[in-house]
Amino acid sequence: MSSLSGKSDEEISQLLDEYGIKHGPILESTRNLYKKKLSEAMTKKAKPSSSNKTYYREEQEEVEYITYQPPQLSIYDGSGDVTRRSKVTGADFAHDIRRSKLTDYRDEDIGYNNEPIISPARSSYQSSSRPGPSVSTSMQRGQSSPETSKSGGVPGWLRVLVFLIIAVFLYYVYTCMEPAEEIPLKSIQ
Amino acid sequence: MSSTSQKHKDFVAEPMGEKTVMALAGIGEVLGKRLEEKGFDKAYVVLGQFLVLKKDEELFREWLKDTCGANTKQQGDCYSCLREWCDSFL
Repeated sequence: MSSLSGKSDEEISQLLDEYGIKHGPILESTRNLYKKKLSEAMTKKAKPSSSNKTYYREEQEEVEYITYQPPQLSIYDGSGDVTRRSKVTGADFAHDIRRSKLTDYRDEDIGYNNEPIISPARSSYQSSSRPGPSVSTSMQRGQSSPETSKSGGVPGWLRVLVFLIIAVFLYYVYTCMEPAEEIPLKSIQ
Repeated sequence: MSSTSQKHKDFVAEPMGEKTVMALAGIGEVLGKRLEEKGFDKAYVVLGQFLVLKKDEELFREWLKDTCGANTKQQGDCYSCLREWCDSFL
C-alpha cells in the first residue's frame, strides 16, 4: 500500500475519481480531508476496478426458458376452432405456452390462415361433410396421426390439398350464411 | 423538519461581512476558538472552505468534524446555515 502523503495533488485527485468519491480542488485545507477519505476507501475496497467485475459476472447468469416444441405436435394442438377451445386442457395449454410466438391461433374463430400447413390436414381427414361435430373427434384422432406422419417436413402436395379443402370449406360456409344475411336487410325495409 | 435557531435566522438575514466564525450557527466559543487556531478566524473563511468543498454536505460535515471536533448536530446546523446563506446571497 503506497503512502498517500507522497502523492501529488493530481494523483490524489485521480485516486478520488477511481473510488468514485466526489471532491473539489485539492488545496492545503482540503488535502488532509481527501487523504483521510482515500485511506477509508482503500480499507473498504481492495481495488476500485475489481468491484466492476462482479457485476459483470452476475449479468452472465441469464437463463433462457424458451423451449421449442416439435412443429407437428404443437402446431396441431393449436389449430383454431371454436369447439376445440373448450376441450383444450392443461396438456395443450403447456404446448401453447412454449410456442409463445404463435399465440394468435388461440384467438382465431374461423381464420385458419395462421397454421394452414399441418393442423387442418389432420382435421380434414376426419371432417368430410360437416366441420362442426367432426372436430371433436378430429382432435382425438389427430394426436395419433402425427405419429404416423412423416417425421421430416410437410410435402408440398399436401399443402396444396389442405389449401383447397379450406377454400371449399369456406365457400360452403359462405353459401350457408347467405339466406341469414338477407333477413336483417328485409327487416330494415 | 428541525426548526432553525435564532442564531441561524440572524446569520442568513444579511451578508456576513466581517462577522466572526462564532456567528455561524452550531459554532460556539469552544469550536470557534479551535477554528481560529487553524486559521479560520472569520465566517467568510469558513464560507470559502464550504465553497471549495463544492457545498457538499458530507464533505463539509467531515471537514468540520476533523478540524474542530463538531458533533453531528453542530455539523448540521453550520451546514444548513451556510447553505441557506448561499441560496440568498451567493
